[in-house]
Amino acid sequence: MAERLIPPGEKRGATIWVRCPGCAGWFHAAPELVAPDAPRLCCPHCRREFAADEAAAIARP
Amino acid sequence: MTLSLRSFLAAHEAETLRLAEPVSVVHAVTALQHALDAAGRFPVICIDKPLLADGRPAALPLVTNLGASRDLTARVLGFPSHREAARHYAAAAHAGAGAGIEPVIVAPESAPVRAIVAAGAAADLTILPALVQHALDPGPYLTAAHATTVDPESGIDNTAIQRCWIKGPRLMSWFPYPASHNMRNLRKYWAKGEACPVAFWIGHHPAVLMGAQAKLGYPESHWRSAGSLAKAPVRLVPSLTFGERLMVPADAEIVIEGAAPPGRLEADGPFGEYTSYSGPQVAAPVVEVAAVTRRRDAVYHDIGSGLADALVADNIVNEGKLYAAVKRLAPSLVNVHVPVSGRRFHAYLQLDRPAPGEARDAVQAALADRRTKAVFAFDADIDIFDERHVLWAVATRVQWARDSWVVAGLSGSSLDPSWGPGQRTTSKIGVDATLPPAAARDAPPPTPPVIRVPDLARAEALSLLSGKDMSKWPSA
Repeated sequence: MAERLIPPGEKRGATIWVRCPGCAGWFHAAPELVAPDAPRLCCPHCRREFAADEAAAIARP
Repeated sequence: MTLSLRSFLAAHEAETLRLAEPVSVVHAVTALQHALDAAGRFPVICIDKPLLADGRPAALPLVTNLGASRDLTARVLGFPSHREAARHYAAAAHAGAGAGIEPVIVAPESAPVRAIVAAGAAADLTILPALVQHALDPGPYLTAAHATTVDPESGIDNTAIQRCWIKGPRLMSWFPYPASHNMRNLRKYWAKGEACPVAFWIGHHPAVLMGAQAKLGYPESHWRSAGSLAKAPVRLVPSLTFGERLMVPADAEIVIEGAAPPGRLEADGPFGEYTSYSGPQVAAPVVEVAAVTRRRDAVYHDIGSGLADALVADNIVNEGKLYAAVKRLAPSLVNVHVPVSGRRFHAYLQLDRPAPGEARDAVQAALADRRTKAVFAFDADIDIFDERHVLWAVATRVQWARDSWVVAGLSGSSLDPSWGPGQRTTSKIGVDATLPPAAARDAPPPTPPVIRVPDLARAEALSLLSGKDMSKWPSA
């Protein structure tokens, strides 16, 4: 899929939100932690460790 | 007298909020700092009986807010005023290669920080009253840990404050920012397939802490700048684990020694950052702890991240760096203020009758610093420590099309919350808020005069107000 052309001046955030598969809590993570072969994420709410592909959801900007 | 955290605390008891009642390390201490920041009060805070997350009393008392006051920080450093911090810090820490005061080495038996040694399985980070500062911080963090590593090629040490998440009695993550000199050292060890030796020292006299934070070249030891700010040599002792390869301050309160095994990264964060936003969870090295040494009655030091405690001291250090860098190019520079309101991103430069083009030269030089994002040049009549005055000058001395310029593609901080997806560089703005030059050196500037009342009338007005109770008059 072609990337959408971003008009100059249009604001976009960069924060990636991850939803814990254990407690369903949301937290934010750097891009390198949701990339393939990344270290396991750690939920700050319940301390569950999980791979990015196990996340309940990932909201990318 | 040897400088130490305890010598500082003893000298500043009157400026200290000391709480004898138990206070939780989870959010409560940081909430206190938020409340004090909001009230515009910046005492040192001592918690005699911190309570750990599980309700147990911590083994050590806690001190925080050491760096929150510009006034106290300047006095501790022996500066005549916080308003002159930039020039004095630059003179002490940026006098050139070979300047500063050489550290001295003491034997382990003479090092207070070696009084209690817990090595191997006896080491236990969980007894420390490390704070969980903000919501979304995943656990207790060392926030005043000065991480010292060594460049394996030159053998020269580097020191920087870098956060560590205590994950177990002998395991913690460690986040050296990617552009940091410690990360550069770590990468060199890892490139050889070796673990990176590291020591984290906690608690020392603020003059030593401020000097150790000097923004220096690479590789360049921070012990000389620390000695320069302290006006005395820093006493070092060989680390227990690495000996003379890695030296640590003998008069610190606590030293944590360990190594970061090559290639091992774990999740670290989210963490409340200097921007006053929560930074994202990142992949960070971990440190396997080999030993914890401490004074017999050690005091644990915390720095309130994103609060005046962290920003004031850090910004004074950067004022010194900017002053030294800009002064070389713009001799009319007289002062620099990096205000807490802009976190690390804004810098106010004050110039005394700059030559044509010199204000822009100064701004350009300051914009080259990775931390700055907006740099403003002002005349000497503007109080750069009063943001009402700063904004008045911006409002009345700037034609935006003429006096501001944006430069894109410069290095910046990925922790800047305004960054967009995939961004790797930042855009910055320079603003020349100086007046146009006068036709002759002693002539008034070619702009309307600022309103004023004669000195005598002002004195009479103050006399009329003297003794009046103003507390019930509207303040906004």
